[in-house]
Amino acid sequence: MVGDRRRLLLLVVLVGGLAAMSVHYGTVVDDQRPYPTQSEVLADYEGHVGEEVYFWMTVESVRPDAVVARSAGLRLTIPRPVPGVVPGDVVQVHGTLRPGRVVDPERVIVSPRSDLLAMYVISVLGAALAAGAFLRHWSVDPGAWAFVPRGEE
Amino acid sequence: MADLLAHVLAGYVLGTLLVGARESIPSRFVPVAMVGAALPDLAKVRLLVPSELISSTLGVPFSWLALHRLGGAVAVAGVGALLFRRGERPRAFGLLALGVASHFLLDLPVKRADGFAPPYLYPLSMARPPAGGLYLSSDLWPTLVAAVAAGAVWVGARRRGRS
Repeated sequence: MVGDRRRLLLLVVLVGGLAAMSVHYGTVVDDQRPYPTQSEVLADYEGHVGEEVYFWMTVESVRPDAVVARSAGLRLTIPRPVPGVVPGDVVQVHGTLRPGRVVDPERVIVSPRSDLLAMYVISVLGAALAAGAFLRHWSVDPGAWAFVPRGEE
Repeated sequence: MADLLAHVLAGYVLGTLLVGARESIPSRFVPVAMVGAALPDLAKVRLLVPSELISSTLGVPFSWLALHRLGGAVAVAGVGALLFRRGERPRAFGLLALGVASHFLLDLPVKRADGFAPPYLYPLSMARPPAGGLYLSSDLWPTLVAAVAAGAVWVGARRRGRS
């Protein structure tokens, strides 16, 4: 059928577009980002000293005057007390890279680990709510490969 | 992102308001907006299959985050709309797009240490809009606000249905 062929063609175009954007975005995103990536800093730490950086890192250890955090293979010290932070928390740190694996922070934002775990649980509830509400009103017509209003299938 | 429940509830609120305002849109389209509000977070599939894994397997750069940008989310909504019957596709796309729009609006105010949100308008623009700095994705209160709003809209819709 013409309608089915048009639908298939549109699907191919859209999925192709998605694939192209995923590759293109992967190509440009690091160049467009105003900061070096973790792997760039790992590959040449000294070369990036003095540059502005922005990382999301997991807290490893906490001292009264500093926090040590890591992301992938990159471990950095934030030489500043961060109130309330405990190991396992996630910190966003924006600042300047200093010699000796230190980041001089302009701003640190803490996401507590317990809140992050709750967020994942709540998000699963959200997905279940959307799926449940949808399937209450719609069902699948396998012959037409389409969602149809429940009761009309 | 705010958490997914906050997004889905926001989709419910907007979908219900739209359905209430337009008689041509039956209430079965409300959950379509809820699903739309969740679509950009399909990019979270990267927690299961990292972008780097696909990139190294295929030998080309790759980022799931394209799904969490305007172009990717609209394309996903287009695919979603094609899963409906012909006559319902425009409305399905409209409600999915409404949900997608609400998703980005709720993600803009998330606190970022450098003060800028990601380039949500990709591929139209790589500009990074200022982040609102209102809440963290892991904060509970935006979800509570969304739940209260959803509750109010639910009660309103039921009253309307009876009158």
